This record gives sequence, structure tokens and C-alpha cells, in this order.
Amino acid sequence: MDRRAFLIASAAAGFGLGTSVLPASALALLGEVSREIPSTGQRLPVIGMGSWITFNVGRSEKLRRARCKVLEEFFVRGGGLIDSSPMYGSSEEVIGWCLERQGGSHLMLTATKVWTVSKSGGISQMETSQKLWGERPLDLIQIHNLVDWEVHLETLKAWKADRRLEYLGITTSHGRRHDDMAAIMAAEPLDFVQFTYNIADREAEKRLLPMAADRGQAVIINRPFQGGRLIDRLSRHPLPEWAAEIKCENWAQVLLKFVVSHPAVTCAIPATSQVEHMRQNMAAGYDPLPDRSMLQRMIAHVESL
Amino acid sequence: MIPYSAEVFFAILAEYNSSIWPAQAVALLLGVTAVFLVARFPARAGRPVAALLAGAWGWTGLVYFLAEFSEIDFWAYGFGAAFVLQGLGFVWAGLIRRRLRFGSEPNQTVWSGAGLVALGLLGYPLLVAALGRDLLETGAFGVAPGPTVIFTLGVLLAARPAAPLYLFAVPLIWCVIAGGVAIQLGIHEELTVAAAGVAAIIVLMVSRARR
Repeated sequence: MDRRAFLIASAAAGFGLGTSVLPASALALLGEVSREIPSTGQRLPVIGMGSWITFNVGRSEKLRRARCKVLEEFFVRGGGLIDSSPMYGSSEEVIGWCLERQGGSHLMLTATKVWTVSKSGGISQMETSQKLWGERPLDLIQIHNLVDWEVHLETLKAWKADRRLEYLGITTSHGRRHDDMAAIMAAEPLDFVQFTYNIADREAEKRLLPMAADRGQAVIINRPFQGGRLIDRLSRHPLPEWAAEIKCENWAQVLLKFVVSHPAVTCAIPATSQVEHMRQNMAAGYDPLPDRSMLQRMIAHVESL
Repeated sequence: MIPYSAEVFFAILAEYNSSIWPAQAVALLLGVTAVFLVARFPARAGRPVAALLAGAWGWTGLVYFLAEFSEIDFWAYGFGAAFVLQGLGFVWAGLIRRRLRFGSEPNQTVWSGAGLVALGLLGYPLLVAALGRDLLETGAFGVAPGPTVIFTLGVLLAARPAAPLYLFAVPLIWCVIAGGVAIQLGIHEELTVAAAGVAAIIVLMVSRARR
């Protein structure tokens, strides 16, 4: 057990609680960084969990149990938002399977997407998602890649009014459709927006991130590692000395701290199927975050490689 | 954009193979029987071979893709439909129109086809075994796409007169997809499928140029 895990476990014991229900205030004392969701004021740890590919393991019980360990590590380290989609094969079902066996945490915010066409198709898909995730109502439903967004947005607004969900949002990835995203962000009452942002793909800094901050929309960042390509590329180079100044022990933490240091970012959702990688990812959600000059050094260094 | 990892692909393939056993052995036996029919009774082999291919493509479309892999792969619905369509293509071309026929005097094209047939039936699983992987984690002719496609391309090249070109479409498209899967997931045996597609195109072009 490393120092942070020891401190978390000790603090949990002090509260007379299991680690997965450690209060947010205690995690904050340990240095966990969280951000406010503008529409409600609820605080969310800056490192969440994506599930693209990693939790799509089908019916294999052996692989499902392995993913439960990853999820357990996520909660122990103070994880909050879990993001999935019907597009991700069996991911929603596997997450629900794990949650049924180990419970969640009070920090948990469940987020899925609607990824189909037509009003009835969307409703049917969202009801299926709800069953797959378990008994607790889904917190956030996003319109995946803006598919049939006008139709689904009306449904989501109605569901939110009926208190069937807490938040609604829209997503895109790979830097696509930023014009459409911006137009919808400007016109609609969105709680969350999700798009791609990382040290090598900073297009979102120009318009989407400032706009989300202005409009009071929480921001989820997908592909912080460019689907793993950034890690593969950077891992061929030694970690720079300045990484120690922001308590980074590996490139994954450098990349995540870069993303979540942007003040408009609410959380990033790296995906992993490895407990060790989850541990590394979660450590990036603790102080210190890079300041403006450090961010410039990070960008310059990565661009020089 | 493949929504699963190689680890998950092999785990699900192993479960699938366990659940359908001994279908693989039956398919292999039927494949060997088809080869025997073409070699020994070429004039009468067309319809039985077409029926076998229709069954192999239909099974792979319905059971492998739609029943098994659709759980983890949204593409599986499209792949399953394409494989079923190819199976219907064999019903139409081979059973109804009798456009899948074989001759008794093999030329280079026919021998090339025979080579692919052997690769699809036996070479592919032997290659996987040589790579050190459990046979449960590999596809077999008649019940999984890779070897079924290789075998089919071989049969189509061996047909005399030449098989209708539309029967090559889905198998060759699958060869391209298999190449992408091989590269993205590092499943090296799938490169065999892509290579078989390239070989089939070359043989087909040379054969048509000679006519």
C-alpha cells in the first residue's frame, strides 16, 4: 500500500467508514482536487473513469471480476464520475454488474449516453441503460456525438423536469463538430458538455472551454491520452525533471494534470483495464496542479519531442 | 474503431468455441467432403458445395456475429447481415442458378484456389497453433469468418467456368476488415486473411487477363 492509499484508508478508519464512502471533505484534506458542477454546486473529483473498450468484456466472469477490481481502486482513491455509452458494447452491463457486487460510493456520479435515432428509440435505449446500470437512477445522460440531438434533447429536458435524471448534456470526440457543439452550447440549457482535449490537441482552448465557463456548463474531457497514442509516443522519452515539481511519477499523470489544470474542466475520464494504471490516473487528481508557467513548460517540452 | 481489446476478443472466441463444439469438427468434415467431391466428381459437386458455403456463411452471420459478438461489437449487426447475404448469394447462384460449377482439368487458377481451400481448412488453425495460442482461441472453417472467407475465395477461384464476380465482393471486403483488425489489435493470424484476399485478387486479375 502506498502513502496515499495508507492515508485514505487511515482517514476512512478514523471516520468509522469503508474507504469507498470516505467523505469528500476528508479526501479534500488529503489533497484531492474537485470542481463544482455549475448548475447545482455539487462537487466532482477531477479524475473520472471512462469505459470505452476497457469495460466491454462481454459475459466473461473472469474479465468482469478483473474490471471490478479496477472500479474498486477508482472508488478507494476517491473517484467520482463514471462515463459509458450504449455504443460501448457490454460496458454498461459490466459496470452495473460490478456496482451490484461492490456498491458505489457517495461521490459517484453515473453518466451514460443516448446513441440512436428517433424519440422512441432514444427512450427505449435510455430505459435499457437504466436497467443495466442498476437500481439507482442515472445522474447524467448525454447525447452521444450529437446523434439526433434535437429529438433527444426534448426527451432529456422532460426527464429532468420529471426528476428522472439530474443532469443532461451533449458529447463529441476527436475534435469533430466543434461548430455544432458551440451552437448548441449557446442555445440550450446544458448541464454538461463533453469533448476531446489533451496536450497535443488543444483546439478546445480557443472556443469550447471558455464558452462552457461563460455559460456555466460542466466540462468532461475525453481522450486525455489520445486513445493511448500520446502515452505510447511519450513513453519512449524519459520523464522530465520538472515532473517531480507537480508530483508526477509517469507520463499519464503529466498528461492528466495538464488537462485538469484548465479551470473550465470539471473532470477528465481516462479509461483503463489495469488496477495499476487506475492507481496512477487517480493520483493525478491530487495537488499540486501545474500553474501557468509550468503549463507552458509542459507544452514546449512535449512539442519538442 | 474497434470497441474491444484483443484480450476480450480471445476470451469471447474461446467461450464461443466451447459452446458450439463439435460444430467445428462437423464443419471441417463437411469441408473435406466438399474438397473430395470437387476432386472426384466435379460435374456433380456444384450444388453440394454451394449448399455447404450457404450454410457456413449463414451460421457465421447468425451465430458468430449476431448471437455472440453483437454483445461487444455494434459492427457485428452489419457484419452478420453481410454474411447472411453472402449465404443467400450461394443459394441463388449455386443452388438456383447453378452458376457454381467445377471442371476436371485443373489449371493454375484452380490450383491457386485449392491452395486457399487448404489454408482455410487446415493451414489457418495450424498457423495459430504454431503461434503458440490455444486452439480454443482461433476461428474454424464454417463457424468463424477468417477461415470461412479464405476457403470460400479458394472455392470461387477453383470454379469452372469462372464464378460470378458478385460472390467475391463480401469475402474481399472482409479481407480488408481483417487486415485492419490484425493491425489495430495485433491479432497476427488475421493478416493471413488479408493476404489471402490480395492473393485472390491477383489470381483473379491474371486469370481474366489470360481469357
